[in-house]
Amino acid sequence: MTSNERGTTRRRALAVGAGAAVGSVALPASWFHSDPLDGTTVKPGTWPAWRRDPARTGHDPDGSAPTREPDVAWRTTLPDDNSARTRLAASRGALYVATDRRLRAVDAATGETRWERTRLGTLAWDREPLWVEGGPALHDGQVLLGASVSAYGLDRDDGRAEWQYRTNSSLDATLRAGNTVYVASSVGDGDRLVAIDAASGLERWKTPADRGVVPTASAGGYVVGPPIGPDGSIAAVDAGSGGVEWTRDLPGEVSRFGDPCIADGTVYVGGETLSALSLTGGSTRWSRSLGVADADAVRPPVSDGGTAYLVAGEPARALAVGAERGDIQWEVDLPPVPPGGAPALVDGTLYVGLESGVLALDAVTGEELFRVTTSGGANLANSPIVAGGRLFVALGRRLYAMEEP
Amino acid sequence: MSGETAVPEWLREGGRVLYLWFAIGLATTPGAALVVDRVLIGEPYDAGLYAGQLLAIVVAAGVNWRYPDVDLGRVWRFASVAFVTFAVLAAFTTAFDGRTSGSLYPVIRVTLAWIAALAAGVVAARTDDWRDLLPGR
Repeated sequence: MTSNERGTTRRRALAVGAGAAVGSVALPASWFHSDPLDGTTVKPGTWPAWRRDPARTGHDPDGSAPTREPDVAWRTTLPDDNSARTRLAASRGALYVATDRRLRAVDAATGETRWERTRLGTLAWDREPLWVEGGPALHDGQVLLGASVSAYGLDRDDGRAEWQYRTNSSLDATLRAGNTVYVASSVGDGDRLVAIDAASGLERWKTPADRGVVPTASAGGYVVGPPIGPDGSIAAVDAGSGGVEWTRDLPGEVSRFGDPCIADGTVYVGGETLSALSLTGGSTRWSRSLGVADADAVRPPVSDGGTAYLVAGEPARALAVGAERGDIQWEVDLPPVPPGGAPALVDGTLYVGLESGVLALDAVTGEELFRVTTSGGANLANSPIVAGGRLFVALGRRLYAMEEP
Repeated sequence: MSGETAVPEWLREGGRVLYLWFAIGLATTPGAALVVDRVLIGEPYDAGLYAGQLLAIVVAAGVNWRYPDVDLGRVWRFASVAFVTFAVLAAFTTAFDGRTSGSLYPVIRVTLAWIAALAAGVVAARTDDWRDLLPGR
């Protein structure tokens, strides 16, 4: 090779290197992730996340479920016998069951296992076994899951991990709204709220250190939850940028289990009091004492817009509170209820998970419609869900599908 | 009789391959490790580092077999320039401290940075006088 040819080759290498360097630095992320979509509506007959929708209403106005003593369509045993929580989601004929250490997809019609994951890595011998922190939440062809220090997007058909977003510590909460996943965790030099594109796993934005909210509910372009910083007991940020919109102090302590729900522009937060706040400005519409000795004995509220429902106190009681003025419409004493569960509200019936079964109440009168008692006790949470006309309840190691007889 | 002790041929050969391995590892391991880290989800046991080292061994053996008289000084020049270029690019692109694995975007960015680093190393290894790179020379 002549020196002239060597010079040409070197110049070509230099051009390739310079082009690659520019590409590496300047390649726009926007080419690879989807534009954010507002997705607060959920298809009738599905239950794609905890308390059903991003607003956490726990309400399916168009669904149907048993209103009298149901038959057990099938039951199956879950292998994770020491799980503290069992979380359910259902859509497209499949039920997704997350225990502490495994994620299982079950045929909603038969109860047969479609797939199961105890690790989420690309390789079979990946670094860490699964430890579920949040989810499952369903979005298009994906199951979104918070596990250990990461958020994951999994293929709904086989549970294969499509992407992973790593943080520095356990996830405080995960919330899917539209095609965005919100997580709160330690990222970089502080705690932050991070918005992640659900399709690609790429970060859309993150708040500055120690700013933002723990994402527990989203509606109307806001993400609401306990503030990440030291001030206030509830706050709202702009769902598109993470900018803090308002922060409020509430009277009394707020329940650790009392994640808010949003219905018709009102945020309901439970604790020593049940407070109704304006979503847009955070102003208090009304506040009602719940008469509980321990704020943590107040479970998350659900709402159809006209009434907020929640389980509070030890011994537990179910309350229906009018959305307009905060008046108690009815109140019913309950058998023991685990601390972290939320009721499901479907077609005028309120389904409350018990420590050893499930109870159905008429949402208008509070009248008991039926009660199913099982031998297996619930773990920390018993949040029944309703999909495809069936009521699904996880109690200890047993998963039940119940249907109208 | 001279006081010099002859170094056995196998030892010289072994030392040379080791020398090549270290140098080439400097150029390949950071890039390969990062690409593998971005491709694999929950990558096990620092798989990227092992992959980079394995690649370095293969390339070192190939270079030693194909170019037995290769100038080790040039190889080190290639490796050190590639390493420094990669480190400089790391300072300018968030792909390196990105938190997403399994997505195409960080994989492409890291791969491009690695290509740029290797290209810079090749240019440095083959250039004794930088003025040769100027147009018209």
